[in-house]
Amino acid sequence: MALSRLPLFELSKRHPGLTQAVSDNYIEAASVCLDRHHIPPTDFSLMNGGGSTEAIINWISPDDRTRNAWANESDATRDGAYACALAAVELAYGMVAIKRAETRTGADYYIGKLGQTFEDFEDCLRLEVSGIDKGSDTIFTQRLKEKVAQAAAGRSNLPAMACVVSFQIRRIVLQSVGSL
Amino acid sequence: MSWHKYHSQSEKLASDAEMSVKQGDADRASGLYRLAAEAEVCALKEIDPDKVRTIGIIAVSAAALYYKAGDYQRAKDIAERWLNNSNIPPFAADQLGDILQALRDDRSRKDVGKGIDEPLFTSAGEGTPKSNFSASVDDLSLYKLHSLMSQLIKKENELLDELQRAPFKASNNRKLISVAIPLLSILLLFAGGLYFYNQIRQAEQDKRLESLRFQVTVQIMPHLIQSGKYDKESALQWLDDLLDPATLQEIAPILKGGNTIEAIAKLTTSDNQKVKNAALEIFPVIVNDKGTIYSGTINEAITVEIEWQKQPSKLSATLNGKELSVNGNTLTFSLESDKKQPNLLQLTFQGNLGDMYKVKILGNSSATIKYLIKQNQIEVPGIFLFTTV
Repeated sequence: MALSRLPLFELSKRHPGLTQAVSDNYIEAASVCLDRHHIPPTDFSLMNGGGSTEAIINWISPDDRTRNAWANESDATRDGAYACALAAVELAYGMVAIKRAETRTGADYYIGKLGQTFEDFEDCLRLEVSGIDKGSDTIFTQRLKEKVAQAAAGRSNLPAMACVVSFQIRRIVLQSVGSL
Repeated sequence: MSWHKYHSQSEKLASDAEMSVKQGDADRASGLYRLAAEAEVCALKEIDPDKVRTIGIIAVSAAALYYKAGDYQRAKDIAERWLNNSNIPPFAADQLGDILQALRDDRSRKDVGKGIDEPLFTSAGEGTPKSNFSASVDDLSLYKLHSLMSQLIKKENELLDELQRAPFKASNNRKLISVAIPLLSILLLFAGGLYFYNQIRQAEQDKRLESLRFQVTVQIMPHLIQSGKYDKESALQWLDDLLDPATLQEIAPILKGGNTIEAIAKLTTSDNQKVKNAALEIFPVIVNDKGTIYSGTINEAITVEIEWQKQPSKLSATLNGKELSVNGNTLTFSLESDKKQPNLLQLTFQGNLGDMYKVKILGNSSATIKYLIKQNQIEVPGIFLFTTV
C-alpha cells in the first residue's frame, strides 16, 4: 500500500487560518528541525484515534543562512511542530486551520473540516500543539499525557485536539480531548 | 462590518506583528498588535450574544493582543470587563485570569512592547510611593520611555484624585504634596528630558553633546507672588530649590485652589547654549484601513519629517483647518507670532493596512517640553504632542 504524503507545503492555500508569511515561516522551521536528524524524504509514524499509519515527509534542506536564522532551538521546534501538526490533521481528518486567536503566550489555532464554512468558533476544535526535538519514547509519552491533561483540565467545555510532534523519533500523535 | 471581518483583520495584523517580532522590529510589532487588539474589540461589539464560546475566545484574544502591544491598562480593562460578564465560558475566564495574574506579577515582560522591567512604584513606610526608577540613558529605548511616561502620568492622576477626595486629610497632604507630586513631576521631567536626549543622540551623532544640563523651571511665579509670601527674587530662588521636595509643601494651598503649574524642561548644552532643531517627538504611525489621523496642538513653528519605505497613497496636513503643502516628505510652516491660542495641526496618512511611517517633529528654535499639571489632570502636550484621532 502506497504511503501517504504529509502535505507539508503551501499550507496557506488550504488552511484559511494561516497567512502565507506564517505558513512559509512554519514550513521553514520544520525543514530546519527535520534536517537536524534526517535526510529527505523520510517516513513518520502518524497515530490518531488508536490507529497508526506511515506518512512520507519531504522538505527542502535548509542552507546555512536558514539554519543560523533558526538558531533558537525552542522557537524552531515550536514553529516546526505547528507546520507538522497542521499537515497531520489535514491528512488524518481532512481538517484545516480555520481561525487563529491570540493567547497571552502565543496563539491557538482552531480547526474545522476543509471546505466547510464556519461563521464562528462554536463548532471549531482547538488544536493544542507540542513539539519535541530530541527525546525517547518515554519523553514523548509523557509530553502527550501532559498535553492531553492540559487541554482537558485547564479549559473545560472546549473541545480540543492535542498533537505532539517528535522530530528525532519521527512520530506525530493526534488525540481528541473533550466531547466533539 | 461583521465581527468576522473584524476578526479576520485582527488575524492578519497579529500575524504581521509576529513576523515583525521575528525580524526584531519592536516598534512595528507593538503598533500592529495594538491595531489587532482594536479590531478584536470591534469584533466583540458585533458578535451575537448567544455565541458564548466565540465571545470568550475573542475576549481573550483582545486582552492578549493589548498585552503583547504593551498596553497593559487596556489589557487589564478588557480582562476585568469580561471576567465580570456572567456569560463568559470557564475556559475564557481561566485565560483572562491568567492575563490579569501576569499583569500583577509583572515578571515576564521580555519581548516587544513589554515596557520597563520592574514595577515603577512600591510602597515604603506609610504608603508613601517610592520610586524604583533608575536606568541609564542607554538602557531606555523609545518604547520604554513612552511606557514610563504613561505609568507616571497615570500614577500622578491617581494621587491627585486622592488629594481631591480628601484635601484636608493631613496624611494625604504630607504624602502627596511633600513627596509624591514633586517626585512624579520631576520624574516626568526627567523622563521627558531623557526622551529628548535619546532623540538628539540618535539625530545628531556627530555633535558633541557630552553633557546636557536639564534645566527645570516650574512657572508658578504668579501664584507664589500672589500668595504674598514671595517677591520675584525670592520666587526665583524658590524655583532654584525646586528639587527639594520639602519646599513644595508650601504650595498645597495653591493646589487646592485649582491653580495650574506649568513645568518647562529646556535642554541646553554644557555651555548653556540652546539645542536647535532638536527632535521634539518621534513616533511610528501604523496605518489602518480607514487611514490614520494624528492631531495635536502646537505653539511654535515646527518641521515635520516623515520617513517611509513605501510612499503613502495619500499624505495630507492641515493647520487650523487650512491645507498645508507637503514637499516630498517634509512639512515646514510658520505660525503667526502674535497668535497666543494653540494651533491645531492634523496629519492624515492613507496607505495599505499595516504600513508604517516614522514621524519626526523637529523644533525650530529650542527643545522645550511643557507640562500642565492641574489638579486632577495632567496634560503633557510637549511629549504626547500628537495623538491618534
